[in-house]
Amino acid sequence: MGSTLAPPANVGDLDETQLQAWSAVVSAWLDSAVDRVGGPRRGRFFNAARTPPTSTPAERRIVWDAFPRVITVSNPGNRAAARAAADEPADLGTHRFRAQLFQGDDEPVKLPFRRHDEYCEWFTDRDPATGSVRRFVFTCEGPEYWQFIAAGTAAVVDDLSQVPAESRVDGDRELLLRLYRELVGPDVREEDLFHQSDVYLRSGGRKRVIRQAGEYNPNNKWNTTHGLVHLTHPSNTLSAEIFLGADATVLRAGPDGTPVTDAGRLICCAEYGEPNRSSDPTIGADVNDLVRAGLTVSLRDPIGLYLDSIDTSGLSGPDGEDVSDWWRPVRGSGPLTLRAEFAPPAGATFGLADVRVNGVPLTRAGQLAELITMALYGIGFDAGNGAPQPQGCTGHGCSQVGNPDLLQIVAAGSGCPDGWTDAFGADDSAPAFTAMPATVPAGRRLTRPSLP
Amino acid sequence: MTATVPAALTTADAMGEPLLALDDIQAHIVPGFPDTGQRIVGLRLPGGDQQAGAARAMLRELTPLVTPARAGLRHRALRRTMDVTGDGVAAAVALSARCLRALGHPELADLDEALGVGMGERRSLRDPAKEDWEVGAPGSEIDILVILAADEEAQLDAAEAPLLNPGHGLTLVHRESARRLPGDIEHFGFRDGISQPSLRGLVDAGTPLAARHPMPRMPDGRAYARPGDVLLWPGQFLFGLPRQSSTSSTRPADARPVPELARNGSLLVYRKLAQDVAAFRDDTAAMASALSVEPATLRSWLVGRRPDGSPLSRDETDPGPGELNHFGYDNGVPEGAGVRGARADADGARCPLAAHIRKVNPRDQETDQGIQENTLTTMILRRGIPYGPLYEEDPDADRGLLFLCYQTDLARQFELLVQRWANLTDRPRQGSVNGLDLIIGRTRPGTPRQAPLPPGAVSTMVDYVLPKGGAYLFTPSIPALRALSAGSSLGNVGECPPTRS
Repeated sequence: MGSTLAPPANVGDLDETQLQAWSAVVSAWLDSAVDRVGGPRRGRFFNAARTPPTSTPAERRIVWDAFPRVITVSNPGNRAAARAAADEPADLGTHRFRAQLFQGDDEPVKLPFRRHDEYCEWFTDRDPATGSVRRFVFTCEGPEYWQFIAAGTAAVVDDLSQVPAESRVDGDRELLLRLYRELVGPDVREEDLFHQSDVYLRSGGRKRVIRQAGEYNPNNKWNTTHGLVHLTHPSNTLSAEIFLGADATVLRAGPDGTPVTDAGRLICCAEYGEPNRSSDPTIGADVNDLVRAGLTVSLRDPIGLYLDSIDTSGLSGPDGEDVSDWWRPVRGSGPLTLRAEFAPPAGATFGLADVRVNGVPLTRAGQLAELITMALYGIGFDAGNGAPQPQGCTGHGCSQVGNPDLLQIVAAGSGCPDGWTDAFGADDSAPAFTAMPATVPAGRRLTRPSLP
Repeated sequence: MTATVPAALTTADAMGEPLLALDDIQAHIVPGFPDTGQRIVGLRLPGGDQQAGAARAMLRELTPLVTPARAGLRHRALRRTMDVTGDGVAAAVALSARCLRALGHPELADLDEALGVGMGERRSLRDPAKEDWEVGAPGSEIDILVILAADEEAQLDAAEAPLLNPGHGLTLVHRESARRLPGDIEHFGFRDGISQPSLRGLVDAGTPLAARHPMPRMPDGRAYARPGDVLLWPGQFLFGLPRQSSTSSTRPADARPVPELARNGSLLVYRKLAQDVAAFRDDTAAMASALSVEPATLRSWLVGRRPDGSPLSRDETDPGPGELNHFGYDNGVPEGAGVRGARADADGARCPLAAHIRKVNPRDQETDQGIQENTLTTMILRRGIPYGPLYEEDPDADRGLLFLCYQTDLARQFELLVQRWANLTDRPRQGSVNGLDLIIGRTRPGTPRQAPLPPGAVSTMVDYVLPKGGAYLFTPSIPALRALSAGSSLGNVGECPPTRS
């Protein structure tokens, strides 16, 4: 291996051995991402730890809004309703399996997560005695880093053979507990963070275990109902973003051979993410843009998703006081902030209940999320390969009748479900133009984190 | 990838569009007032128990004067085809959230969050403190805005006179006289108001509001009434009608559910924007000198058009009327239907990313807000008009633009254009330093305004445009005005003949 890959924002939680192990994990993801797109013949993705760029790479800052687009378009013109909807907890069983989950002796259980699917999640920390808000907390840390701390290398790669034996580590529960207590509070107990029994589905009278006893529980109460440490939405994973970046290096063309380049059609054509988010279409289109310019691309080290900035110009105290310094990065800093809080500093003469956001009393963290810009950084260099030949589409977009702002992706050549109609014109649903096979080639097994 | 649209939309293509209630919609929204002069009068309701009665009494006087869209269209057609001017006075009326609450309709005041709290509270606009506003300062906020339009000053004087002593306990808190400048320029010398969206919709069973003309096949997948004349679903500007979708240029989104009294109404932004012509000229001349270019060239870069309105994105400097808006940024446009094509200008080589027309109307660009289809959903209907004399006539006079625009979502339309795009340097184009909109963009106090231009970056501490206040208002339909003035529901109001008074 070449250079090492740092943890997001270069946070200083890990010792040297763990740092090397984390680097190996990220490198394994990058290797899988390169394989995923069939190597340089089809895509233009590289692992900087394995093959450092031969020239100084260009950087591309890719930004998007933190408040979930899908919630906004589902509540047209009604910001208050959108913010309230964003604060409604969701359940992994219902969301992912459309079923009730159980634990122990058929005890129904929920695995809560947040509906915040733009890689920025928030928590409203209230005083248990008064119910008043003490702070609003935001994070963009993917779950894998915390799974890695909790359970080591094996928890975040499916295929351990991709990580050299000397670069693997076990979990560090002591570190996990210390960090949780620092971020959430002293009441956190180690047993709160791990499943105490199997979590399973019931299907045809049989149990299907989806989480094993002793496994780190990303949906533990201190990361959901009682606090916030890292991202919980099933789509908010760092590895998924790496894979999306890689998938987006494959150029695409429609049935008539015309390049597919705009963000909406591209994500549906290539099926590399969630079309209803602000983030995924934006990230994919920007990466694709670099490849069309002849560059081979990756993500800039330290690879992470970041709270880039917040526009505090709309925030004020009851008499117009400047409260911009109430926004305080807690992990990372500046444009590489991973976690931030909005809370009154020591000595403040008024509290959060007195703060206004563009004249509206601050009651929900979503009001702040609307002011946050998210970012990640792509890099690209000219490896002398030029742009790859375009591939055909494997999917196409359908939009909901009545609210075409909502999209879903279906396989190329297939029709849209009832209540949905083709999103971008009839041509896109036709069988794919294929300059080369549009399937993921057989190769090494894809390395993905162990989610859920 | 290009979307599939017909080379030219025909009248038949428009038949699926909604019938517009032209006798209900105020003409200031559609089609706007083409008259050369306007008077804008702001009235303040009294406090306490008198509020509702005062508001109703005033609205009873004003409502019969309000010009419906059908009369406005007829007037516009007469001006265009027969060069008729001096055809009476047109009027429009808009109401503040405070007024709507006083009238017993908080649901209308809360139709839009920004309307509910008022422009003075929207600090993300980075306006001067509201206490320093000339229009709408605390205690003098406008509750009822009346817009009068005519060609002759005498007509405006006569129409305005009763409002200067409004009675019913109301107070005159604002009065502004505005007049279009020769050549429809604004005070910095650039032709203004060139780019406006056209509404989809029918004026009767067989006639679209915007006549459909032959079009070259467009690569951006949008629907156009004619070259450069993009069609949008009317719900983007009028409540209760199908909305523009953020994923489809052509298919509508369902109308947003709104109270019945909101139907065919719209949200009005009114701002008084003072223009410092001397500062603009001096500062841009200094910038031009530093970059070794002509001042006129630099000023055009800041605007995105030349003074005659020709867009920098087109190569030729003598575009015909049909070519002034026939261009894209991410996509080139083809020739055909009597217009010449234009190359794409994705990276701002000809029209800088910081140019005013590009910052606040990115056209076919993907933006930080999403795909290119979504960009259409941010567009507004502009109804601005200059005030004050030309600089050469009286350098010391107050002058500028009375900015007025219509939409149905203040945060996603006007505020987004100003807060997110004009005021922020990294938006709307992804992956690039766009720079600030140096015409209207504002930074935090003490922070320079900066923008990259083709020969190099420029930076200034000088504001060329200074917001002097204004208001967010709701412009109801005429039946809604009648109902509000009568304190009744929509079904219990009489009919009035549509006219210009």
